[in-house]
Amino acid sequence: MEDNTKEIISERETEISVIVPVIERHSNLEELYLSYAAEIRKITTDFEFIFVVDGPMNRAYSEIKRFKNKYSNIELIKFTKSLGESNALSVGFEIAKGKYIFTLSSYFQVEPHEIEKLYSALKDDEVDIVITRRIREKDTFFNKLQNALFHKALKFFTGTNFKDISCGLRGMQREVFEKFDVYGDLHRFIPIIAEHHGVKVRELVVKQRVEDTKTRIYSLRTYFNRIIDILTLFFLLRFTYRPMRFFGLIGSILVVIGFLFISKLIYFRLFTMNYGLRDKPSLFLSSLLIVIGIQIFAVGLIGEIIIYTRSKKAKYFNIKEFIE
Amino acid sequence: MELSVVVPIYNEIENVDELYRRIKTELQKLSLTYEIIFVDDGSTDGTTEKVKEIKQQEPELKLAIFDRNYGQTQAMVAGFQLARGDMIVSMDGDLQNDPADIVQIIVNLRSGYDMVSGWRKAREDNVILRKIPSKIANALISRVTEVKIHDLGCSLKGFNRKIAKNMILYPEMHRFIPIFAASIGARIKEVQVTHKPRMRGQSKYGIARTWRVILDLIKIKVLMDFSHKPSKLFAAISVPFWIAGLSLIVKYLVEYVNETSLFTSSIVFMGTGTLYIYLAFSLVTFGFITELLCVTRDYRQDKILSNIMASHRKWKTIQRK
Repeated sequence: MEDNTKEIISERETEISVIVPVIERHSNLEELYLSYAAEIRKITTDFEFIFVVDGPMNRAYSEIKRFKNKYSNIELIKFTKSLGESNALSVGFEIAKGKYIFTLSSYFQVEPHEIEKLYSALKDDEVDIVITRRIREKDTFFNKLQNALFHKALKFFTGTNFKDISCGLRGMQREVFEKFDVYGDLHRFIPIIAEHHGVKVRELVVKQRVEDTKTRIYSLRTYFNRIIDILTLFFLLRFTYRPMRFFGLIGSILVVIGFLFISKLIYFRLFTMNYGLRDKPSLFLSSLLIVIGIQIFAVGLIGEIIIYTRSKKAKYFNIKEFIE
Repeated sequence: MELSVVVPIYNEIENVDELYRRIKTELQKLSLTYEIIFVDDGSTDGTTEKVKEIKQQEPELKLAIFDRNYGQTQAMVAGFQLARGDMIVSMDGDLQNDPADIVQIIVNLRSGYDMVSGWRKAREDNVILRKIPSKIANALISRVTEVKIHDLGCSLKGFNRKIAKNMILYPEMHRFIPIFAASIGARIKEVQVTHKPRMRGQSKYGIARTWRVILDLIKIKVLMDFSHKPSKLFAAISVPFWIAGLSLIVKYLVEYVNETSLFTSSIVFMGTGTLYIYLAFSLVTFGFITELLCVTRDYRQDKILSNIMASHRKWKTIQRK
């Protein structure tokens, strides 16, 4: 039975799969498809495009439906409600049959001919993941600035050297995706998480499309979300299996400071005449420190208990080869 | 198969050859069936090719090769899963452990211990940087957890098959293997082993900082003693805050009722008391939330424990016969 399914999968395998999540804005999707497909055709004719359309994007859906049947290698998936980019990518990966899987943003970011560079890095150099860095020659000052700030912060918290983590054009070996379970907004940080785990990741310099150089001002919520993402990533990369190291340290520092203050107050109360505590706001403040400190510490303990009680299902290693 | 020797290997290109030869010589002296499993933990210096070379000349060597680096603990876990022996011995890949000590471990496992842990009594390491800190840490840990072990960090250990296969080892847990084994009912024996300084290659450990040890200690105590009854733990922590909070509030109320002072003059007591009560409440709630985690847990210490205890009883009846 198991062998059978394996056979079917290998029969269906193609060389390249391109996944295009259509989430928010998008350019003319047929044009996008045609220009990238033309470049891929120079590498191989054995490829497929997978469009995953998020719930609210009805117009994009009908647009793709219109041109889908003209070409033989397009898969189209439509969510019934808004599920976001992570889910779109996951579904795309799930049905992708390619040996090499590329992801593509639904609007022009990168010159299509650059895809050949990515392919050869994956195929010839056996890099596990390639990501792209747009050379921002013509980009606006504001775009450059927000990009630089974002990556400064990212480097500070995660130590990564990638300079353009949000570029949608990426390629990876099929197996890599199966190893990393990402959720929420973390999909954009897959390369960082992967590299942290010892996967070979390479950032290639690519040419930016003119369409991509419009000034982008996101909603306040987006900026806020990015900050939270960076902090989450920082915590996950360093403390997933040892939450106590994080919460325990912060909590104990707060408790110690609060305790020192309170001891000082109590010392004066005991050994000084006419020293009452009723008019000392510092009693209140130092208690607050202790309270917060203990709470953070307790959160660390809960974290440890979560990891411990769930450790059996998680698999932390992958044997590539067993030679008996 | 009577014995499996599991050796995690990470960037040990200069050592693997000698390591394999020495383990093999020692095992051949014993009259038992054995297997040697090298787990290559994503080496990057060519160790992988080297062990494959050895494998070609020595077909009895078994090789498990990770696709990337996962850490020594995970290499051990993988080795334990693959091992087919009734006894499983783990040791370092860097020749700091002497394969000659395997004999002692096997003798003790055969006499009925579930786990035999190496004790590097005469450690040849830097005194101030590694010996003294680790001595204090080990003493503290064995006192708090009531597992009488002098040396937690020694990689040379022997396990009864059941214990090894039930070991829960996620990253960061390797330092507590004996404590964990004790928590699932293992009878533990410590034997002195020789310890050599690293001959070649770089040591891969730094100095553990004091606060880390203390935090680790709290963590392991909580996990071993309270992970199946967390509400008790959090309730216990909250007790002093109930007392302090209530007494401050009572003090304030008494003064207020007696009008010994103006309404606002002892407002600090009221505020502080409220704060403590708040903390006490939230700790109790934390306890309940954590109970939910335990209800849905996938690791059942009690089941493993009863399983291993049953095998103890069986073993005793065999001994009596």
